Amino acid sequence: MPVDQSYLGDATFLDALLRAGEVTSRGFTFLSSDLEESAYSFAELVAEARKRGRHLQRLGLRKGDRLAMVIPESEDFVLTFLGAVTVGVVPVPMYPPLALGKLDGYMETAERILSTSRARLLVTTKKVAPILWSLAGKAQGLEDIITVDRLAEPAPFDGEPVSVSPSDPCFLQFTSGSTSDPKGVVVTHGSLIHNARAIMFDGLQSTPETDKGVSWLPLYHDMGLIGFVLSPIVAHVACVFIQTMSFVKRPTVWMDMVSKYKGTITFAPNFAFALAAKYAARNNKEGFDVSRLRVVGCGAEPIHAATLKKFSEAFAPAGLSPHAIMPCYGMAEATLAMSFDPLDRGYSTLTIDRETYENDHVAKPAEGDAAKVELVACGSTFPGHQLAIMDPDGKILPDGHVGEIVFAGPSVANGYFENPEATRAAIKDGWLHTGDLGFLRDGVVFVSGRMKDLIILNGRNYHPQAIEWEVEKVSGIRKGNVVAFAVRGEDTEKLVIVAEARKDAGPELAEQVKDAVKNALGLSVHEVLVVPPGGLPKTSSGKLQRRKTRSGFESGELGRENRTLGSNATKATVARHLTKSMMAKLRHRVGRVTRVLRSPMDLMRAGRS
Amino acid sequence: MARTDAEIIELFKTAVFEVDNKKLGDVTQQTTLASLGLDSVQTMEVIGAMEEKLNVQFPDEDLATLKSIGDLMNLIHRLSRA
Repeated sequence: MPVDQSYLGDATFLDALLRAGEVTSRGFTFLSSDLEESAYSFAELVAEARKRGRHLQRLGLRKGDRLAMVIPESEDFVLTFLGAVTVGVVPVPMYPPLALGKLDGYMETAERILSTSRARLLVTTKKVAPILWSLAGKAQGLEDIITVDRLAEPAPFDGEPVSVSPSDPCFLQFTSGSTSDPKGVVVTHGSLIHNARAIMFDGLQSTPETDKGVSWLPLYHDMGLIGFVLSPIVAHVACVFIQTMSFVKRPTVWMDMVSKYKGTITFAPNFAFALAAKYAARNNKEGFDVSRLRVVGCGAEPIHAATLKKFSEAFAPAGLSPHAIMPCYGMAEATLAMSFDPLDRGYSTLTIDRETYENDHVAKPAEGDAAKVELVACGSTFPGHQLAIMDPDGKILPDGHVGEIVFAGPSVANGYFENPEATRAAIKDGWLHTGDLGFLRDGVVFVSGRMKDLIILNGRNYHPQAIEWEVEKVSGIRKGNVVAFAVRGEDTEKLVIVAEARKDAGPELAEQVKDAVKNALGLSVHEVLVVPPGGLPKTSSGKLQRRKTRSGFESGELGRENRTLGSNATKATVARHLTKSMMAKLRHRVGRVTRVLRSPMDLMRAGRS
Repeated sequence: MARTDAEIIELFKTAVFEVDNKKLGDVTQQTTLASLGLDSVQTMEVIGAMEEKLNVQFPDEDLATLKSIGDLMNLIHRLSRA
């Protein structure tokens, strides 16, 4: 396949963005919730972004300043994000408060992210702004909150030229792991351009003339933002953006838009494959055709072979190639992608012997009736990058041995924003320590769990997955919604299991779980806490939060909120936030009036809002 | 077209059945969405199914404040008046 080599001249993402500004024949199409199109060529996109960049400069932002963004709509999100990048301002994407209820937790996290990033300005939409105003007085360093329409106004004035180097930060990607201590991954112009090339050219072997990306992924998350906005800009590949909420409400919209726009590339986490397959029968209207899809990437959360199979079968009648499904592996600290499965081959799995894995930490293909585990192959890493397995002493392990997955190369991001301690812990001697457990087999990586979640009982290491797999076999337990962990007991650690029950499950479920674990692994469970569906803490992207589950269990909070938080309690929460918001806005306004005396810049801003 | 509260409850029950194969018992204005045993994705599926049946679109920012069937009814009444 002929590949355009001109991208090799770009040293920074900004170089690539400005080069994309010369492309008038292709670009991005944003769909509203009514599926109405708003289309931009790359040239128009860059022109609009530069205009927004000039506004940001006029608002007083300078190269390196952080701009927090809470913008649910993809069109304004992309234009504002790119606008900041054109003037060297560092965007900090944040997720919008859209989940049902849960406003308290949202505001807490938002405040911490704002304080950690020391964002000077928060840009949001008119609809979301009323609820965010309460952050104004609280977040350290936050000077103002503006709505995005101000950046969309004409800007008939010149901007100041800005130059960036590969080591300059391009944006901060906050990881959704821990809410108490959010960490912002510093994606640099250099790490981004390298990872974008690896994704588009090494991994996808993209041809801009024929490829088209279709995505509903949230843009405050790395897979949606880097995979479908920033990398396609580097490669000049056209993309169509569906609102995330449209997909969650009507899962058919994903493949319907792939069919309508003749999409060739799309990506999603495992859960979305299950959801799309469930509704696939409703996709099959006349002319429904997904045969042009050459890559359906699966990543961002543990991949289940059974889900991929279901998806593949559901869309085969509409022409989905069995070779299109492509598992991949990545994380924000590596900018995004670390490995892709080979193109045009379909996914493959390896079934390993569970006992050898648990006892000897060696992945050996299973034989006969022995207990086994099926893992999905996530491919090998990109040229110029290295993926290896390391033991706790820093020694690289041979093929088939289980240890921590480590990654090195120009895609590795520049650690965590103003957090040298966390950075030193994550990147040692050039190796990014992923914290994931896994093994390599002929250069192909298999991910089997998280290191930090290892359970130590009576001096023996257990992978929580091994315990959770047994619990999931109990009927009445929701698959993929089980967390096993250890808590400190008097003499030794004690095993605790928190699991979501199906709604029709009976009260005997906890005993059944204990029996299952005892019979399969010989372990006695100290306590089983059965929670209703949705009762386990999850990140905004739907991943189980193990540490939060443990701390929630230990504090006694877990399993309680669903019983006490009724409609009125929620209404009170909303009312409280709105009141706080209004008060903060008033205080802020008053504060600004007094500040007016200090600088003409403030006078200008106070007068304009 | 305006719907009665009873009609909305019936539509809601049908939507939950379509999403989760689950027959709900008594549902009243006070019933919370959280008490129905749906996870966050399923809840949004039900919301989507309701939109389809009623031919309306619930604004995203209103969903953040939706907790009970009564809240949902109020939202539907408000949208049908608009």
